[in-house]
Amino acid sequence: MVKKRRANKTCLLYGEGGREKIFFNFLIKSRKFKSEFPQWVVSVDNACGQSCGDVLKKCINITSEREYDLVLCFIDTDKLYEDFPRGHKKVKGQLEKKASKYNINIVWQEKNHEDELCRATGGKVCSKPGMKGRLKKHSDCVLRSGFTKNIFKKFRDLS
Amino acid sequence: MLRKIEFDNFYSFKDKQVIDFTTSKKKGGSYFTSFDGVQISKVMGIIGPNSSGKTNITKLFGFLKYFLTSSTRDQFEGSDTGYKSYAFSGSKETTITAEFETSNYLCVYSVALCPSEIFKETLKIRKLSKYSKYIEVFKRTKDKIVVNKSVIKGVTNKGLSAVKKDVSTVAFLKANYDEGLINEISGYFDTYSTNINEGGFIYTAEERLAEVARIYSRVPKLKGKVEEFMKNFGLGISGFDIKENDKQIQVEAIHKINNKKYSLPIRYESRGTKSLFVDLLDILVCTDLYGKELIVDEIEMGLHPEAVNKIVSFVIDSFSDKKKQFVFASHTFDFLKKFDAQQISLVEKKDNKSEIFRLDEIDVRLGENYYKKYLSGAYGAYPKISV
Repeated sequence: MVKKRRANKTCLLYGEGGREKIFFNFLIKSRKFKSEFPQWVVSVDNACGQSCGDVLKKCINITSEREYDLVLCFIDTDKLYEDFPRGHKKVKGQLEKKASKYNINIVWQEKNHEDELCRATGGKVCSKPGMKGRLKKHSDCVLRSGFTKNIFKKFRDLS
Repeated sequence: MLRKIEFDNFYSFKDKQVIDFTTSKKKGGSYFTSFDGVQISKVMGIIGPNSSGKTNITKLFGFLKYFLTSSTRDQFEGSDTGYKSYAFSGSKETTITAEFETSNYLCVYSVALCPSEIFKETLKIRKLSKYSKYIEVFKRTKDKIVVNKSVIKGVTNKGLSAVKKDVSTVAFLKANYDEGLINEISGYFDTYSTNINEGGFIYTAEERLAEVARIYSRVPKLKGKVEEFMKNFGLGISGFDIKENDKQIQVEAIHKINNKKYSLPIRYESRGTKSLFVDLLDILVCTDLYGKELIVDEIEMGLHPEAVNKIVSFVIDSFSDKKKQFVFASHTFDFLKKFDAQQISLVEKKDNKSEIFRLDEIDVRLGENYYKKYLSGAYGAYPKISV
């Protein structure tokens, strides 16, 4: 049988809640992503706003049944600081160690996704209501932001 | 046994597609080694997202069965060959070429047709021996059929002039002449057991219940088999009571609770139980009786994935020493863990055109976990849903 097809590169973007999912879908449907990473197939999933450990646990559960080339697990730091006001650095290290065992990259979101996006876009995209529309309206700004560039770099490194 | 089918312009498939059961690499129970050394897979699992064209693949088998065995019955209104072309594009030509083995011959059947008439049709055969050569059995053009009279005797030109433009020559010869070769070829397609007809209609368990119950009632051996089989599924059903009269048929499932028997009309049973009762007919006919090829669309219909897994294994084990094939489309993927890449076909739709390809057409690594890779989207033919 002639090998006439190439397997796709695969990625899972896993977030804490619905807000991340909207953002991820915006990213992978953007012209920039499609043109730069045409060989990538990206799946999007999310937990439901739980503790950092639970988000990672659910991400591990999902990836154990699948074999992605890249897994990015987005975790908010505000919950980490709240749950572990003193030992958050240690817990962060432990979670990173656990994630690396399963080939999962943790993307720490300073405070939470809402704040991260707000900072990245100079306040243009913040809260969940109407997020889809505002992402579309300020797409250039979002795609040029450091937050987005960091995500794209992870794809570029494996392409 | 099917070796290969090539086709185009058939339902959602516009361009030329190949369904290939042959491989030169494998040996084992789920492959059949033919007289010329070609390995033919006895099993093919078809996967793909909803509306990708999986059912249209199974329709192709249903269509061949209808077209080569009973298209003389004229069950469609007007001139109708019994299928729809891509985008329902009326008179555009569809071509189908099937290479298959019957008990004594390797056959190549080709047809060019549109939904209302046949343009070309040929049948070539060779004996299943190493040094045999192909012989043309008949050749049909739009206006003429030429039959090799040294192969098929007693056929006159006058008789052939009666072939309708939407009826296959094979079905016509079968209906009008008692000829061994044609009976063997048509008979091969007649033994296809499938839950889908040429129009693609999948009969639900409810729709087939009475018909299937009648068969079980008249063939006690089959009824015994289905009861035995279902006992192993832990459904709590120990048998079926089938009462038949001229007008209707009643089926009751027998449940044993504390050594006491309770009967429940089957219509009150779960969807999975009814599916099993009905689908097992095709499966058992094919594994235990005369069936040659088993083609099942949406094999999971209401069944637990583990039940599907066990049924697939059961059929493969039953076929291990037989010259039979099992083709199924499914949305459960456990079989990816045990099938070879040559036994897995993927169907996907791009720009509203379906295409089918075998997993070994992709650059898969040796020892790769097809199940995990497919679920991550690496092979394509995976749903793209963003809700």
